[in-house]
Amino acid sequence: MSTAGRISQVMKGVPMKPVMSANPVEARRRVLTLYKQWYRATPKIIEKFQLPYTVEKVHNRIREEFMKNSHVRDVRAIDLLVIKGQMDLQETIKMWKQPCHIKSYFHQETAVEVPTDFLGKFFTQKH
Amino acid sequence: MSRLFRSLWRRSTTLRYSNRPIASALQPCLLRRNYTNETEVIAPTEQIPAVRASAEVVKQQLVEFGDYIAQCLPKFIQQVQVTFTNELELLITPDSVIPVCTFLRDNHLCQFTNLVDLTAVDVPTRPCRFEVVYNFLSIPYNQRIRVKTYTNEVTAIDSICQVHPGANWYEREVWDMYGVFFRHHPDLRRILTDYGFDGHPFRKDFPLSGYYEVRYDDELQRIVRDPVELAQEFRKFDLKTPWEVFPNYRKTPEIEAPATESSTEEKK
Amino acid sequence: MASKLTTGLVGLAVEAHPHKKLKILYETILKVVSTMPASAGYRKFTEENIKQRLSAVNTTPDLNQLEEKLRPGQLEEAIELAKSELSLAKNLVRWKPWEPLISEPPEGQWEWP
Repeated sequence: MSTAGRISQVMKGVPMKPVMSANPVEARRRVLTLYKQWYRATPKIIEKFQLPYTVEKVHNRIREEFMKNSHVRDVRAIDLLVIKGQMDLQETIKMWKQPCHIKSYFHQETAVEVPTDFLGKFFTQKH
Repeated sequence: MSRLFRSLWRRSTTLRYSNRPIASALQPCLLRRNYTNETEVIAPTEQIPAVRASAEVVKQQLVEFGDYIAQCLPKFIQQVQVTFTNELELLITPDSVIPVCTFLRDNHLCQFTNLVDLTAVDVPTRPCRFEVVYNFLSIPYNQRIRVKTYTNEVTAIDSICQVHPGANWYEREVWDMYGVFFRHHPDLRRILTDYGFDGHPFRKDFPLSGYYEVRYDDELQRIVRDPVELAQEFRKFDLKTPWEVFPNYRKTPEIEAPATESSTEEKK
Repeated sequence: MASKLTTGLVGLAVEAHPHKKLKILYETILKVVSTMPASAGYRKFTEENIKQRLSAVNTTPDLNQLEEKLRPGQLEEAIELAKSELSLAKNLVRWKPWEPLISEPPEGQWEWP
């Protein structure tokens, strides 16, 4: 995250007020709570959106999304990510999202295979 | 139907040209009163032509008014300034949004009861990159004021929804477009972007083309989101605006004017 | 005197005893404000303003003349205004705005790059 570098340098007068959590332990608890909420909502999400995936696959995908931000150490950045995750969960559970939004997390059906060999690259070049 | 409109139009035109005396700017509520005796309503004591005060006078008034607010709230206000277009601006600390807005709304001499606009500005080079801007209107005094504060990506700012309920959607918009988090907002969620949208589009580091493109796929019979892929990969997009933005804010070196003259002379 | 039937403003009823109400409100505001330190700018300005209004209420029995003195707006609006000023004064006692500035801006914060 690009913000991590900026935050570490403490400048005079720059506000350092916490967003929600006062310390990393509290932030970690919030992350775990959110993770559990996602985990428990999974069967319902699959049923509502009629997803052609197993519960395990969705669980793994959720875990992947969480691990994407595992390097974030700033408590306030974690808090904001948790807030965004909660909003995302709300959008999903209340069916504000469409099936295409959910499916785009799993599989890019439209992704074109990019050839790796020399001639294939030559034929598919765009300019 | 058209006849109805025509009659309405006639009424409106007659109203506009009715022979009412000019209500002076000093008696704002003159025409609003409703007595049993109608003649009292339309009889002003004196007729003062509505002449706009000169810019200097307006500026002086604004300076005095800004001084009044700064003396009342020295704890919260960092700076008071009158811009070159005669607009009063209060620069306040980020923690004092609610006290300042409440003061401006409730004080006898302010009465800024109307929140006209709330937005943010992203200036990445500053220590706190976001500037949050509130515009207020005082209807009894026909006066406007701008309140500015600052924050960064990870600092929350207090929501003013409890002071001005109309701020609700504006704050959602700022959250959506800039990612500024508002503390104690009743319902903070996205308002303009699509569900599943990544990033905050009005940030300066957000790519112009976005991260995803959305289109309808004929084969899948549904809408798909693909990562953006520009066809011309190596073309340089020079997207700088041709207009001079905020010329007043730029620190122009004083030597500039003679230097350009000499350069033109050299060309000759 | 022509008695007022309506204020012409939605949700704002005509007040039967505006003098009495205004007097109570203004005196309460003065009482709340007097708990602030004497050097506070808000106390100074508000006391001056409210005392002026209070003396107008005490000296003018006629409604129309009083309304002229408490401009802009009608007496009912003046009452609403006094109520909001009272709540503001109570809040300001809590917020203590007369103290020195909480935090200076970081260097270069208000400068345009």
